[in-house]
Amino acid sequence: MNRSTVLSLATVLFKSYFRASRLGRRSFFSNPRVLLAIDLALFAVPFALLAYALPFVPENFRGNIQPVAKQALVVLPVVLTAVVIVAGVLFELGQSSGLASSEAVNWLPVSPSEYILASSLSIVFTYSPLFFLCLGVTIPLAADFGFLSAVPLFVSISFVAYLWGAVIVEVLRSVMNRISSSVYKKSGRVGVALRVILVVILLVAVQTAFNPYLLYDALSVIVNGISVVWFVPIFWPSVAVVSFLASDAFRATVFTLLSLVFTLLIFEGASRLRAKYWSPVPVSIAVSTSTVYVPQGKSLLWLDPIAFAVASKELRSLTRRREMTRFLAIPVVLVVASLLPVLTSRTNTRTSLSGASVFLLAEASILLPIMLSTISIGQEGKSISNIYMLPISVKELVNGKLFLSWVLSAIGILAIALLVQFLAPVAVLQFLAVLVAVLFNMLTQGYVGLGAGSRYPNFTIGPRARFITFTGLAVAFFIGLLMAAGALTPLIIYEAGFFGTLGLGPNESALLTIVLTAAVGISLLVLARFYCLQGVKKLFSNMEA
Amino acid sequence: MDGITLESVKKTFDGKVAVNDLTLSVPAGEVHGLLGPNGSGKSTTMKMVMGIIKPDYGKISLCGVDVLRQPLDAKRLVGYVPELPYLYEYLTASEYLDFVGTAYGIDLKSRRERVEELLQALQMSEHINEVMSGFSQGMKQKIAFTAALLHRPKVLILDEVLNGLDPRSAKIVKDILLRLAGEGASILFSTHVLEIAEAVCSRISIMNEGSIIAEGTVQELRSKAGMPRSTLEETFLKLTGSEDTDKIVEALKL
Repeated sequence: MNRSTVLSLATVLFKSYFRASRLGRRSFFSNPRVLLAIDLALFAVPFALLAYALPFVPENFRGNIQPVAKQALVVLPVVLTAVVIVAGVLFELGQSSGLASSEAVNWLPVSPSEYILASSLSIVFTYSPLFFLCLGVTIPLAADFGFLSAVPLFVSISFVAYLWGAVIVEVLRSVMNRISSSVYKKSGRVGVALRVILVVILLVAVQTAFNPYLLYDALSVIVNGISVVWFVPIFWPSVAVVSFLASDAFRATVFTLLSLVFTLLIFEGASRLRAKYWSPVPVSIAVSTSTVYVPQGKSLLWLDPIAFAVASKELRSLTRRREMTRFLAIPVVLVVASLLPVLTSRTNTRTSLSGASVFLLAEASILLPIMLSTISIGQEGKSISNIYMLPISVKELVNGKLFLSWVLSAIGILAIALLVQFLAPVAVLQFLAVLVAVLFNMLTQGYVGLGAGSRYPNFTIGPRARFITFTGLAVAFFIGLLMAAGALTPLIIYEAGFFGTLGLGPNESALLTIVLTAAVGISLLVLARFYCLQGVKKLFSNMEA
Repeated sequence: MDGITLESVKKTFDGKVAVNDLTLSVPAGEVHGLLGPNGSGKSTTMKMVMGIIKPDYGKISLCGVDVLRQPLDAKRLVGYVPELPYLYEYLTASEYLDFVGTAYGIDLKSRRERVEELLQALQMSEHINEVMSGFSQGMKQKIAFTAALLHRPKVLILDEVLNGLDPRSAKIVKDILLRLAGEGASILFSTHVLEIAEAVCSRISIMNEGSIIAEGTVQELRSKAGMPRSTLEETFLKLTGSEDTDKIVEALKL
């Protein structure tokens, strides 16, 4: 293994990995020295603050913190492995397979083990702020609560666990390439559907796993049951720490050694997988076994054939492009993310929901359409030239592009609304008043998102591409929030009970809200549509060189 | 009426002149070759003819339709194959051609006939229901060429259209171009392969640094260069001032 090749490749991979990420597009952050400075700051600041503050914690309160400090020492290695794996897999899902297969490293004289080591080091370095932050918090806690002797073992074993995460990502990357290539080749449309479902499940699982209540419960189970699951390798670093804290030096040594052996084993496994599935080759996927061309041309609702063709293309982009599938998962993730805290909170579900339902729906009616519509221009990448050269009018393009954003947003909003109505029912007219307001807002936000997406597109197709510039996203949310404030004003007044003070009954109040919402909503829709059409028109009047 | 007309067209990018005061006309039935070194302004000229890039000033029309004022009408008349055809690679060939056919407003029956005959000629019928991400460059080029011909355009803009094509397909494409020109289409065609230009083009314009430095038939270009018995390659190198290639290669320490 050539050390200089590994280090040089690790630096290149880190830079490309980091520059491809959102923050890293600014070259300042992709400088390893800058990241090292950030690492040190993230370690030193919490360390200093806690070291200063902990002696002042009242004695009766210290009893509550001590078990938490112990839990942190035990759980951190497992958490580090899990977080790096999840982040790595999400990064991989956000990367275009075409890009991965054209990496220069595929044809350079770099051995599989050199690549695995370099890539793992680059991942370790990329997520190093998290590692240093965790150490900066846990070490002063450990020192203050009498676990200082465990710190050297804890730091070393945490690094090993952290490294595992990076190497396991390499294993998963090879397996994913292998599975996706064979499944796609053999199953065509079924494979596409399967991937969408798996990505949605994965993202929902990640969302669920990071729910504070569930996370707390899960960590408590891990800490209490760590000795029971001693045979699962991922827990070996934690078992080593637990054993050390229990003054069982022999057990601590055994599990530390086992952890090191496991590191070598997964490294060897990752290298062999890499050697076998060297690079993902874009496969030719046949969605039908027929070689007969059957022309398609349909229209739907208010969509003419051209707008429908654009909408169909958008749907295929969302379902077939690896880097786009995560956007398809947004409605499901948002529904889960919105309802999970309420459903898992310690208070009564019905009480929690009645207060939060309008807020949840308003939030969904802003986030869903904006997130989906802002990306719809940038996700075209260089293929945007097709739109430039074909005789597609601005209105046809806007209608086609927004159709899918609106349909997916409406599905998410209706799912939340119906679940809320099921769990904490309100009067039908009250439910309708809320629904009309959020649906008007959803339509407006779609126009705003596409308007901003066409003014600030980012056509870079890379890992975790955002498809809109940061400024564009800020502009979209700023205008979107202003529009939302207007569109939801009648509903807010209604929810505040103002119409009741005018002597109107519940039904009359709800009806008045619906009428006012429609009037305000239509006016804002006209404004937002104008903003959108002007942006798209300007974009397609002249292509950048 | 001329198929393609450019009058005093100029385009600058960040102060750098890409196309300078360019005037060109390609009448109906002509295959007009656009030759020139890399960065001479060929692709920019073609993109301006397509209405994709706006010129700083000048007038461009296709069959009498002003490209700047009536961009959609102009696009309906023209078929375009860019230098690098960025197709929607997540679509199947069939889905992509449907998308293009719908945009051109071609009815289903005509589309079916046209796609079948073109794909059969280019030996692509078997791949019609495959996702294009697995296609080679030549296969993508064939799909882009098919898409450009779907609506039987009166004007064709072809930027390096033979890139990546196998000899048989390249011959078919050349024959198709000659036949379309014979039926009255105006074709603006750029290539770096001078033998192809000589075989296909009835007239040739040589561009350098954004301007046309010579225009005419191959024979006329030879005369202008003062090399009546030379090859088109020698004529091209002389006109573009890059004939000293031997010295450059000798200077390399190979």
